[in-house]
Amino acid sequence: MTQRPATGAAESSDTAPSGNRGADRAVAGCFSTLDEAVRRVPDGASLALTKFNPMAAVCELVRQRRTGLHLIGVPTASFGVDLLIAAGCASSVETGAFVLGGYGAARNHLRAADEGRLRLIESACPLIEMQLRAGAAGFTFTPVPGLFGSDVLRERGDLKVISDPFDPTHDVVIAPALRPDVALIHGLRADPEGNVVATILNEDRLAVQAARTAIATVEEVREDALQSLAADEQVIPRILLDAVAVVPGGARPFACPGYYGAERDAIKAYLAAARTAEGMAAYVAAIRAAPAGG
Amino acid sequence: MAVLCAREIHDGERIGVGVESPIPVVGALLARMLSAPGVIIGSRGVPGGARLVGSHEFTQLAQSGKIDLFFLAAVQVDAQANINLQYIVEDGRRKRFLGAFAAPIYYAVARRTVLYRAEHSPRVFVKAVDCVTAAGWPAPRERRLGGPSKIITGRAVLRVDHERRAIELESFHPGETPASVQAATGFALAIPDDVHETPPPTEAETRALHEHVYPALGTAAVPWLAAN
Repeated sequence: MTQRPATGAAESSDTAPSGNRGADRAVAGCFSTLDEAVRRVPDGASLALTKFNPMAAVCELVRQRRTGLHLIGVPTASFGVDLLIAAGCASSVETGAFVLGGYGAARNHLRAADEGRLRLIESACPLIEMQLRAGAAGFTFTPVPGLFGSDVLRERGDLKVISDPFDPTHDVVIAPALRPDVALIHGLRADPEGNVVATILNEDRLAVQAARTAIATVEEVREDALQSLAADEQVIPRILLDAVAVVPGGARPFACPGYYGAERDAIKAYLAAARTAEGMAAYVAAIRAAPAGG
Repeated sequence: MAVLCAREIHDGERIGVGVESPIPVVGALLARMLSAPGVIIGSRGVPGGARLVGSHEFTQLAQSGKIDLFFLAAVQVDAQANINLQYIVEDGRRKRFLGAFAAPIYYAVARRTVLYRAEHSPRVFVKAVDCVTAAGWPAPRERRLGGPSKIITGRAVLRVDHERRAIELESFHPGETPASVQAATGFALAIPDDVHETPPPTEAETRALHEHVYPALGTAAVPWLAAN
């Protein structure tokens, strides 16, 4: 998954990627480089990633040798989480399940957990969603349905049971709100003001709303980015974001709707590497050997 | 099994199918073609599925009691209708699976949950699950909107009896007997008087599958479809 480095659109039009109509008119200071954007994820940060894997940004984190991250897979952990774990960037992960699309499962998180390098926090998809929703709303906790009798409740020290204050005949589980230090998403395009158009197929908006710092990479900047939204698209306005970086190919080797399809061979190569610790180490080394992002 | 899933769907219901397995997806599309044309499938991953925003919006729908039926698979199911999606204990160590997904919440809020599992064996249907991802029966002061109703397997259809807190054999598939199903189950099944052979796929069901449902799924983006 080596990424072609991309410079931010705020730089001179000599270096702006071709085809970015509007890039040269980007509002000054609106866009970061990939390097600058990713530097906003410090060591030890809690980082939320959704199923639309921002692979270029993830690879940049790997190159920058980030450590101690607490990864939050929203609501499941996909390739981005998997690669960060394999690269030794994560010390813990919290998610409803580990799902690599329909491609099966990788063993990186299992290997890391078995070797004591990774703490797995058992969660559930709706639990993560409700916790993020509470975080986005500025609450400190949220009620969650179900969970009674579940080992998820039993094994988590941070979930509590209270009597429902509005329905005293019933108890309810409450969970702490989740406010990730950083959410990292890959959007589709941005306008010159840094408003991002993203898909609505996953939890990107929720992750962005809940996070203290929200970073988006996008394929391109277009004057007309917000016009004619497709049915599966939404606008994530600049006010919700702290950094936007223009990174063509930012989701590769996975599909980016409207831009490119999945690179099956590259994905298969990842899965093959993930079968062994040695294979994965070589894979990560190749990422680190690739040229650094702008 | 997809046919059996389809038979559980009532017309006009709002249902949820995880897109990790083709069985309930195929079942949902079949139901929509035949017996339940008004069914609304709360998943974008299915052709004609509801255009909800991410999974979060579906979660809210389920939690507010608007999902009538949810299809769920588990690694283990036990005599108390507890389900395990997380890990089994092998040689004293935890062998982990993919994770709890939405089970601990949806089991309590979907009006009916239909469990499905092709493998019907004592290692799947155990006396007691190694890990309780979701408990079959509500806790004394727990508010639930629904619970498990049926278990569809490659050998049988089981019915979950909430009053008696037991799992009973509703029907055994052609080639099975109540005894053979019981032998494949690690806990005692209640065998009611009206136990019968599962009606095999009808001509209409088979034709709808091959002429409409499979072509509709084609080899779309979801990789497992290509593998199937």
